[in-house]
Amino acid sequence: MKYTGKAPAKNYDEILKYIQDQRAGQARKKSILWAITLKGDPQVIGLIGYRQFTKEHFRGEVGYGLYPGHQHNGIMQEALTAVLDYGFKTIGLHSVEANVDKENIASIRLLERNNFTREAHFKENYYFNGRFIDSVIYSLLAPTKTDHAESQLHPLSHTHHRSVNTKTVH
Amino acid sequence: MRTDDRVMKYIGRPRPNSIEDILAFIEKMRKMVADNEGVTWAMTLKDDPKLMGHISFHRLIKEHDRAEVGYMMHPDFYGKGIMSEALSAVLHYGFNTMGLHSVEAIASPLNNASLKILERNGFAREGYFKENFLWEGQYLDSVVYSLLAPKKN
Repeated sequence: MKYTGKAPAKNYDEILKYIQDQRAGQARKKSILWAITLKGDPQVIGLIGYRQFTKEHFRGEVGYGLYPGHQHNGIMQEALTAVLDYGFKTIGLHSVEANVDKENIASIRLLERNNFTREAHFKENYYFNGRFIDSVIYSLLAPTKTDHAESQLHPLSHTHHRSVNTKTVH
Repeated sequence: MRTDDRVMKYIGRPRPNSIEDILAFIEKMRKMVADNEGVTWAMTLKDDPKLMGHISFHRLIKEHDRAEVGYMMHPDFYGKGIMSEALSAVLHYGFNTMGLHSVEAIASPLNNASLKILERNGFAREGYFKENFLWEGQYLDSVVYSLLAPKKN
């Protein structure tokens, strides 16, 4: 929870409330959350989803987290790819954003690897634990059909351009 | 003001079509203030009741001591530094009376006149969002400027 700007749950009731809030949010289509598990293993090792949408602008905010024992194994890369695919193709989003702590290098690297561009750095716009902290926002536009074809040929390449740019760098 | 293309060109909000639409807008502002969800000011020349424009903190982010400022003015009064003066007064109120820690303004990157007013008042460009705003069938970019409360010495 180090970089989330939210305090860890203090007790079971807080966790139950979180689950209820998530259920309510999903029922009203205000958010959608997935549990991450290893194949064939029911234990939840992380979460990923769209925390909120700005529906009138076809934009969603993605958020994710993994238990420390499972970090740095490529799991979140796989989960994020699936969630972005769902967001663009099934939900029909035009853009996705992610709000990160600028110290969260692992998360930033993951976003950059997935062609997100840093679009904002807000100074002291968030109050948490007695101090004002910064927010950094990364965004990704829905791929155009040309980009999608290219990304199938070169799934591991990454660019520093927005995804709608048809140039790729290898 | 809200039907004038020179004013509304960069503002992605529906134009009013009737007096009823305008009355609905006024009511929306009144309710915002009554519910403590925002604060708005009318702008006039000294000792002249005629409305020149308005400026407001129309979105409060209370948990982060932050607010979004928005403004518009009739073109007859453009080019005289009036909006800058109004913004300056409103920022002073926001930081000193409301106790805000930061203020943001969201604009079209093409709205140079407005961006100059923000820059003149010390705002820094902190965000540029590509195609985050759908308006009349087109995705438009937005730019976000922010200003922190002056440090208390």
